[in-house]
Amino acid sequence: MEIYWLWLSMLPGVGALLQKKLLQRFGSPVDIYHAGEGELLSIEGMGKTLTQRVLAARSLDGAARVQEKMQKSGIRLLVLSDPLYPDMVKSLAEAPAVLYYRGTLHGQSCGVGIVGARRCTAYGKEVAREAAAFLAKQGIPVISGMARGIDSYANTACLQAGGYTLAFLGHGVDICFPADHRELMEAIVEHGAVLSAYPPGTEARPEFFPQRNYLISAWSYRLLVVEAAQKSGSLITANLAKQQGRPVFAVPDNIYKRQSAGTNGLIADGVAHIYLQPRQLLGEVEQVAAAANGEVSAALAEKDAGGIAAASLTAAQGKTLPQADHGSLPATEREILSLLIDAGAPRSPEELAAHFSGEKKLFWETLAVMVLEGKVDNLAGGRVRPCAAFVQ
Amino acid sequence: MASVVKSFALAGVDAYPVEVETDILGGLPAVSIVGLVDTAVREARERVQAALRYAGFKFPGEKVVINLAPGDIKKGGSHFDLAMAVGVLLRSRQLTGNDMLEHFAFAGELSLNATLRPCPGVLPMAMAARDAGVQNLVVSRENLREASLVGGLNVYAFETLAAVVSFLNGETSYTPPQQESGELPDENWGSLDFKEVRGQDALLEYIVIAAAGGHNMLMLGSPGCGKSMVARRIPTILPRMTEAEALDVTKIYSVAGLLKERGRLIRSRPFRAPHHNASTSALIGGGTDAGPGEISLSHNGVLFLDEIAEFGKKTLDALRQPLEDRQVTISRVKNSNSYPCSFMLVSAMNPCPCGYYGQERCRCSDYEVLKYRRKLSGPILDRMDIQKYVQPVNFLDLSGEGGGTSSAVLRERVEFARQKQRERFAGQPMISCNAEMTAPQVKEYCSLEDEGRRLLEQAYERFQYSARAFHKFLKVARTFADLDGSPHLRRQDVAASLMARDMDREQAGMLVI
Repeated sequence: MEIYWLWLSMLPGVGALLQKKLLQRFGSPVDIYHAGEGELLSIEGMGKTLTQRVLAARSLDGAARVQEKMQKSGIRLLVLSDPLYPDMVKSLAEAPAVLYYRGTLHGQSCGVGIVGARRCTAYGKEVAREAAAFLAKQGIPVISGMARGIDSYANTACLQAGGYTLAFLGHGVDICFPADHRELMEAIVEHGAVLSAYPPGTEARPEFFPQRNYLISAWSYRLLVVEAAQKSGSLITANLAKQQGRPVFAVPDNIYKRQSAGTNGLIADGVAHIYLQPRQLLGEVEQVAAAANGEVSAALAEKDAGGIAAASLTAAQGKTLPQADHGSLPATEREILSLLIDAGAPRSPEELAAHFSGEKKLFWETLAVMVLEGKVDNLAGGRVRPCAAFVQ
Repeated sequence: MASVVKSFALAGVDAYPVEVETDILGGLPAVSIVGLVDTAVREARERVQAALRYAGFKFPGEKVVINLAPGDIKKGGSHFDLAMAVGVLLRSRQLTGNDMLEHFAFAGELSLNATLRPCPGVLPMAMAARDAGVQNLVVSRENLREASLVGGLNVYAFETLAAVVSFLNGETSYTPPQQESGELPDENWGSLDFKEVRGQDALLEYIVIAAAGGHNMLMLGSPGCGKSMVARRIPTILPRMTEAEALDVTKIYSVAGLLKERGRLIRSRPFRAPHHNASTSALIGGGTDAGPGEISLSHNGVLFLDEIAEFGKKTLDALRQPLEDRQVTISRVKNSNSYPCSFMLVSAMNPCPCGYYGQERCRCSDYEVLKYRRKLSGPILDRMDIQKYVQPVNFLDLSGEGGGTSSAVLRERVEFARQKQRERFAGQPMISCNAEMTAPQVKEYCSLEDEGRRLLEQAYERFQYSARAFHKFLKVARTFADLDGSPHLRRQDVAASLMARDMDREQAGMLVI
């Protein structure tokens, strides 16, 4: 049977809409395959030329070749009639008849989409990490695109928090793009799935990405857009989500920053809600989904949504935070901490040392211990900042 | 009977005695040089013939055979010229020769005008002469100083072949040539001094540690933050070279033909900074003559690999064995030489492809950063005990008053710590500094107090360090303690050592799978 689905998906000139009509009329791809000229012509949208082309494309060779490749690389097929194909997606007009995937699909694979800029900033990375980890803890799948930047961070953070994540690709699922993500891709396959509408062996091309964006938003109850420039793929995803009736959230940012013009614009135009905290990503449907996935205990589910979110927020951050009580700290630690807090942004230790009143040696020693004890976070580029518990 | 004259051939950084045998056989005029010689030796035939003629001697009009014994070892170089000329003269009785000739050895190249030219490797040759019990060595004027570095040996220097012959004939007595007087100041760093490095206090502390414990180090930093500036100054705080160390270094430079001021011991520790397109052979040593590479040229000094991530992966991995063994054997089809290479490896790289990781302008994803850093293989990274960020300095501060700490002050601290290590490792030949400690030695010398142990355990949990990294921390902590003269590893030593690996800690915080 599968081969007829493949055949249908590869018919020249027959897109998702027409596939749907054909399936409605004939019931299954085998019947379409065996349909006569008259029957085909009776379908709205099937012109004379197109019908001739369909009739001429009766060979199953192409489909067989794809099937062979799929077997070799452990790729599976998700077809419209499959119970794993989410109803929420099925109901969309342009949902493709077949999807290729590697990994495991749950009965409840829809979740919250997180997309954003490839060339993201540390701010965007932090937002994506927090949101994805939060969703993972809630048992809500994180839907993204495994692209550089925000997408890969969302997938990664979800996996690190032990969650389930899907990645939709604009190329065959046997290809890793960008190549640096090989390990990430394998991890997604193991703890989730990578999906694509394109047959194995298809190289990534710019015109393939809108389709993949369509799938990301289709699979998402809600969509979070983190850092998007004007005219970016993430904006396309946001608009598609809007069209599909999914609530969109955008992360507000500096109005002078080019990377954020898109997201700020989404908020200004009323396309997206302003995103301020992860619990906004929780809707009723998601909680049902989460419960179905068995990740959230019944007791938690009974509480109000806000309570769940608050409880899980700390859990999502994972670490056991030290008591945020400055008073109980030794004097040196207190001074370093206040230097850090006054700085407002991550600083290099050298800058702080210049302002330290005591002996330099003492500063370095104390800072080292504070980093080890988790009172100070070590950031990229050798910079430091006080850990979250001390900032509030 | 054939005449026998002594000379030397080079093998690696050492020389061995060679006997130049000359005989005149009847037959058509011809010169044949045998004894596994290379082209440079073979060409001596033309030089020697021309030189003899120019100096007013007669080259035998029959077949001349010159044999360099032992005949089964490959020999090269143009310094056999002088010995061959003397041999021919002796055999053709133009040199009255006497018994004392067996106490003479010769090393020098001849010009067609019969003047003597300098040659590389005279220092090891003089050492070989002394060791072989030859009392007199004849060299060119330019090589006099170099040969004189070796005591217990009479060195005679001449400018022309005629002068050599008349001296050997006893016609003239030897008058040492005029030499520019005055030894150079023992070390020469030009204007390099750490006091020009400002605003890098934390880094400097770790530089001192690296120098004091012989730890290899990696500096991370954005372009223009001063990585090379710092590296260039590291030799200025390493301990002074001992006489033996200086001799070792001079020998290598002599063999490589790189002695700029002939005849002066190299007293400043070498600093070599090969460009990142260097081939494996250039770095390790090689060529048809199996000559020394950059690692041997930086023996007892600093090998600085700037932009280390841009070096070929294979080239870098070739460093692994020399880093462990402190000696390298270069094997070629016809040659196999061993060179010492005990150097401190200092390297620098950008933290990410764009160079500004952690700063506002950086847009590299963690996956890209990781890929970039993986250009350094694990085993090489493992050999860098210290990985520190070089923070970009606020240039407004630079214009201010208040210089940094001078090299002299830093060196004093280094020497102090080295003294502690010498005492600790006295009687153990294979080890001279903390970085060279083996696992059992780490166990023996790096006993931890409870507080320090707890700190290490904390770090272990937080950053998932390997057992191997554990040893590294202990070694570095040992050096920290030595700097203060503390016999035990205190809590602050452990804390400081745990801050020595910026890159490891940073990678633990990356958002990657």
